[in-house]
Amino acid sequence: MPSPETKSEKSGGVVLSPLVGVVLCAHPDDFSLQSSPFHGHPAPFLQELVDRPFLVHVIESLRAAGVSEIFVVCSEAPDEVRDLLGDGTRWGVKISHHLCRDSQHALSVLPTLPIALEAKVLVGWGHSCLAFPAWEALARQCDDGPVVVVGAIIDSAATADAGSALRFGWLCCLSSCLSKITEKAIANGWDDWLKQICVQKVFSQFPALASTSGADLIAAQQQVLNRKFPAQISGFEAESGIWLSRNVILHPTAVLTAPVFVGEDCRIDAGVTLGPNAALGQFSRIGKSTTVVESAISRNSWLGEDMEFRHVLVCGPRVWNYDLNTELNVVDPFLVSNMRTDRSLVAQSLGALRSFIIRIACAVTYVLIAPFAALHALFGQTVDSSKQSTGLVNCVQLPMPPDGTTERKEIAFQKRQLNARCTAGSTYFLCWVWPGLLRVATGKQDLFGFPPRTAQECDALERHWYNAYRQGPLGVIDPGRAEFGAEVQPFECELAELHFAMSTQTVGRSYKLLKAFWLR
Amino acid sequence: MQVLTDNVGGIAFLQPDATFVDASNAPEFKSCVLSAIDTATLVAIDMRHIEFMDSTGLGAMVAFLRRVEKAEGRLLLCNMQPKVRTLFELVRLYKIFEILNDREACLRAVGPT
Repeated sequence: MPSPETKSEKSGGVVLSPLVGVVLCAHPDDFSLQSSPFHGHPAPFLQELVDRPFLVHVIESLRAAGVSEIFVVCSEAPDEVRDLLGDGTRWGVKISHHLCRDSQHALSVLPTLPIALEAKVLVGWGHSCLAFPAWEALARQCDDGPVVVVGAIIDSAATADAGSALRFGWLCCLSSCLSKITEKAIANGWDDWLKQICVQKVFSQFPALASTSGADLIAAQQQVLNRKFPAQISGFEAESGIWLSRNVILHPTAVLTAPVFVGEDCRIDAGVTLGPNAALGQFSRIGKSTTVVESAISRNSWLGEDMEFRHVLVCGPRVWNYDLNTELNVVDPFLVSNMRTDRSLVAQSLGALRSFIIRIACAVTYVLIAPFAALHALFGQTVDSSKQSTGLVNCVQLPMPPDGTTERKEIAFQKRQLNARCTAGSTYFLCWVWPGLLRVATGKQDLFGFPPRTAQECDALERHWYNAYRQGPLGVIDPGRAEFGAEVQPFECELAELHFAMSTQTVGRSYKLLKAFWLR
Repeated sequence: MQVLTDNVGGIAFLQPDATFVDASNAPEFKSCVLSAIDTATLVAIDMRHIEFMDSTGLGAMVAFLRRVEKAEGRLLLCNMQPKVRTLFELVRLYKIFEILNDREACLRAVGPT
């Protein structure tokens, strides 16, 4: 463990000064427009950068600088920050949490912190991070007086105004300087205070990261992935610049171009192009033939098939293009959605209740229809044994091309060993829709075709069921399509879709036919 | 219910001895603390004993804040128990209250008087 103290030589002796850090987890009002993708949640400092939240990078950077005690001052999401950081045992530092009203009051909390006298204090924001060499240089400079570090590449305009620099960048000073912060200084702006404590230098050449806007976050991601910022990346480096975390399911036909990071428990389907400069958060799924370039995908994301993500941030169902500065809230869950597992208890309970009711209803319906199925089988055998090809067979006009109809029916009927000359509508209903009810009742599929919401659901979902879901207005699965699955030919796909549509449209007519069977 | 009053560094520290504040004792809590506040303008409520608080307790706290702000004073809260602090965070009352970790922080926040 590095020494928690920095050494500085003065007049031949060695003076040990404790180095403490103060991280302000506030959301400066100035960034309200730039941070549009983060409206609501998460806060900029909780946004994921490569493999962990940005704030963790800040803490690790401070730890690398030799800081032994960190004061975290929060005005946004204090409970989440406390859950994330804890007491700092994970990093070997002591972390204490403090509250402030807003970003304007964040600095005014500094005098209230129990910081030892003569300690050097690194004060900065949770949404900006400096590299370790910068800290070392700062600590050295701090021996002669306080230093303000402008946010470097974070905001070059801030160099013109030291006051705004303090709101955007980092400060290194002696703890005695903090006691000079007063309400009056806050009211008059920070320039007065900075003049009072004799600001010496402004640095701008150190590598820095920021998460104040989407463009900043992508730039930060690029720096980390290209090793321009000394941050540790978790996971196994399969090739230079390609990090794979544990339990990643990677299709052999997926193409990964460095630098790229794939988080834990991700699944990447066939034909996916990932990278360069792409990071995939935990528990994410990418559908086949999708391209993700220069983008950051947050954890628990579901990206559909045949899509292209370039220069975007994906956070839940929100997709933000930082080139165009536009935000899109995707309503189709098959394109982009969130597989969050941390739903509230109420939402989980309601979901479970809904699922239970649906399963019970489907089970009851399945049992009620069972006698009709028996009748159907009986009449089918009768028709088959009598070698009749007319009668009820022609009662239903099938909405599909004749060739396809014939071929498809043969395939389906052979597999199910049913009579090809039986009534088509009732066959579809009893052979496909009716077993579908059993699948719903046993929890193997969802009646309404909702996409899987959790990683567990996604894993449990078979590939061909997912394919069938895509076109299903009721989510009842066409077994013919299921048998072909993902390898089905385009022509077969069209046929399966027609069959599927028909199986849902002809339910009413099938009931009429069943009624006719019953009367007969 | 008793409220211990202590004046340190120009701050009137009020320390209620209630372990919980809910509908059953919120009126008493409110009247006791309000009478202890009296005309003080620099008030810090030491909440070390309060382990549970519900909405009526929060209403009482807001009443204290209004009273102190009406007198153009300053109200600080300190030594909160984790559960109570979480409650203040959940309802975002930390945006209007000045919440500090301990009495020393209150003294440092006020500065030399």
